[in-house]
Amino acid sequence: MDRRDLLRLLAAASALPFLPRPADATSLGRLLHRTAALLPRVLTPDQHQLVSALADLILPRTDTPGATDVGVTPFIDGLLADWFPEDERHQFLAGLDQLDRRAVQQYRGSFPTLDPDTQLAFAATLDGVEGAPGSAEASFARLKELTVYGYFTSKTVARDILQDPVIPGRFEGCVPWQ
Amino acid sequence: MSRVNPGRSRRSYDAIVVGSGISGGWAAKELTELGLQVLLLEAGGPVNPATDYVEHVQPWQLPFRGYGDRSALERNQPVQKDCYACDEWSGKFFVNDLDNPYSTPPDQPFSWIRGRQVGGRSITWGRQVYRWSDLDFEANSRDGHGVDWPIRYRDIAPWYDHVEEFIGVSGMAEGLPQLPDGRFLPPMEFNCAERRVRERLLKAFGGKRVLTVGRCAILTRDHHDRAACHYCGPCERGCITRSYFSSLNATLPAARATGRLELRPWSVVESVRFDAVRRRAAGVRVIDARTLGVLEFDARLVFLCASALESTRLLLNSRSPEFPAGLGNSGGVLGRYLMDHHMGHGARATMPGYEDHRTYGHRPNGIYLARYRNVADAHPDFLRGYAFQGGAWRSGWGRGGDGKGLGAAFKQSLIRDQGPWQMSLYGFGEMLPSPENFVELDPTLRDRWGIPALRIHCAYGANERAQWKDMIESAMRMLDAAGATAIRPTDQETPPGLVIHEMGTARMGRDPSTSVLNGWNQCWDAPNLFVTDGACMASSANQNPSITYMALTARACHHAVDLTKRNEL
Ligand SMILES: Cc1cc2nc3c(=O)[nH]c(=O)nc-3n(C[C@H](O)[C@H](O)[C@H](O)COP(=O)(O)OP(=O)(O)OC[C@H]3O[C@@H](n4cnc5c(N)ncnc54)[C@H](O)[C@@H]3O)c2cc1C
Ligand code: SF4
Repeated sequence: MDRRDLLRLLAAASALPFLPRPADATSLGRLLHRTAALLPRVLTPDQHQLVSALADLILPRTDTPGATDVGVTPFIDGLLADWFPEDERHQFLAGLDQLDRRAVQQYRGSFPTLDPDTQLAFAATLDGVEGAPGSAEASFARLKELTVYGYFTSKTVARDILQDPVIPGRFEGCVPWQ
Repeated sequence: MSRVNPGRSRRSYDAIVVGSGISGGWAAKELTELGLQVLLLEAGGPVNPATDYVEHVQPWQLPFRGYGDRSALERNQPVQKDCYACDEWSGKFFVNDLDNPYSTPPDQPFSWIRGRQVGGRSITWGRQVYRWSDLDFEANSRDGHGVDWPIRYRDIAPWYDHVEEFIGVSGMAEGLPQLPDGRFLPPMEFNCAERRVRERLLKAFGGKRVLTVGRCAILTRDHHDRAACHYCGPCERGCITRSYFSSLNATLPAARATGRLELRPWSVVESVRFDAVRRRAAGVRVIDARTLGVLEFDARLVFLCASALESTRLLLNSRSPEFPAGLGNSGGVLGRYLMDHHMGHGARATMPGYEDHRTYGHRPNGIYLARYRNVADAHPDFLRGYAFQGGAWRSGWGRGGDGKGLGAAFKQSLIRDQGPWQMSLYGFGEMLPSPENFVELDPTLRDRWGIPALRIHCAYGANERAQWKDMIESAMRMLDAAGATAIRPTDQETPPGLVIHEMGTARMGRDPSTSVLNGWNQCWDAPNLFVTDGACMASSANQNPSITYMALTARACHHAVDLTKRNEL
């Protein structure tokens, strides 16, 4: 194959818009786009604030974007609406509520209202700690997993920050990394 | 059943090929190139590379970012979803389980992973290709499990050459008698950790444990009219530059170029029709997948390449007064001796070192550690052998999802550092042929087109279990010898079928009373009927089988045409 043909093909392929097929296109695809900027579908306003505060605590804005800058909260809300089985959704939300109640008990304030140092100190007591489904610890772990996934699969991070090329053109097995 | 070919005269061909996957694509190519007019019947619909291939679609372009549409998968693809490749991108290349049912005894789960479209599973396959050797072709006669293969390595070797020359296989020659070298394109590179493991194993085991780079049907340089791989990575989503081998990328275009191919999608072959006077297959009966109308086609040669269990289902369903239990079943073995491989046993570990090195590009390939059991000596606990596949990688940002860490420094380390090198070895083991593993037609269950569904009886036995134990112990010992740390066993029993190397059920043999096909894949009951997919296998070896199906298919095609020319059919 001629090199020019190849490049043309590649350009065409990577420029292909994502065309949902009937089997893939559930309500989420459509709704996520329509409502991302609008109302959350599962999270209450309080839960929405809590998820956003936790996500930004896990991956805060620095010289690179933070979790909410790249839409991690609507991503999690969308998964809760259309991907989570009902029992897991209930457990996840119950654990979040428990987490916030604990913040109120220990620090006299809902988690999003606490100052950053207190938030960090509190979250550190949950991080990496195992808990039964429905516990603050289990929901924190799940939230962290989804936050990391949603962050690194966002267009901004995957394409512009990691700069992982879609079409590398070659494979090298062992190159120095500066 | 409804009327046949209403208002339409019956079409006749030199050859009919059933199924357009890996085997059928080869049959179509060889037969058309040998001058025959070929009708290729494919149960599924067409695939258009320009719009259906999605290898460059990125997670953020998908509704679920790659998590998959869980509820749709659970509803429509409860079996297929267990295959790693049936994800948010490639799920469309796997069957709808509601339309394509089968049954099993409750205590014998079997995962039947299928692709029903032009190209079959060649679109999603893992592209690993390993020749068999006489260690494999002689295994049945040596230990008495299964019937003797009617062929040996020398019979198939030229056909491996023929196939490899066309498909393009990248790999390293190692000179191992149990894993014959082929005509390789340049190998893909090892990564830092894999190279170290290879070197240390060679030293620690006196050259007897050879870890080579995966041999795969992917072009490492331009080959014929196909372009070299550009290392985007997820081949199971298609390949717009046709760099890996699939029917769509290679054999079907070649067959089409002869001008002698007629491809008919949406054509579900229901049975092979038998001409009792000539004692030959007369042709096939087809159900149009969209209209459910019934059609018949005639041909001088019929090649079944519908995949192992589909071809056998077709034969079981080809009942006539002469063959009330199905065509090919006069010996009573049709459906018997079902095999798969077994996987899920081995070990994982961390490989210290090279933290300041990484890979560039996405290598769509791993490593292969060739069989070493029962090669030169006899293992006390089990017959036959296994090989390992796997590889090394860096955990990347994914490691942030579990474990500890919060805040700016955590984020920065996920962006900057790739985490330690991880190495895995997964065993792929041989499964003995056993009459207790078999398929039959389910007495009541039917598929969406009204064709009787299969009832599959299959379970791993004591020999396989003994291999699992040794796989885990050996993998851990080898990783230790290679200097790994944090060595963890992998011990995941998966249902048979999930290795997706299901084979047997219409085996080749030397005797019509104990086999379905002769040494040329010719059905004893109807010599112009050939079965060249995995159904023909008399044992499973431990190598990924598809290149052997390709070689046997090409060989059978040439033989069939020779016989036709000599008027022996
Ligand atoms: C994810 C995955 C990874 C794999 N990795 C490897 C690997 O690395 N190496 C390897 O060797 N193998 C691998 N395999 C297995 C490999 O795909 C199969 O062995 C191979 O595709 C079998 O070829 P086939 O032509 O017999 O069947 P298929 O490729 O399945 O094609 C059969 C075709 O026949 C059609 N068909 C079925 N029934 C009918 C009918 N009644 N009428 C008309 N048409 C019909 C089907 O629609 C299909 O298109 C893998 C499979 C999968 C799914
Ligand atoms: S990795 Fe190579 S073979 Fe696979 S899809 Fe990308 S270009 Fe094609």
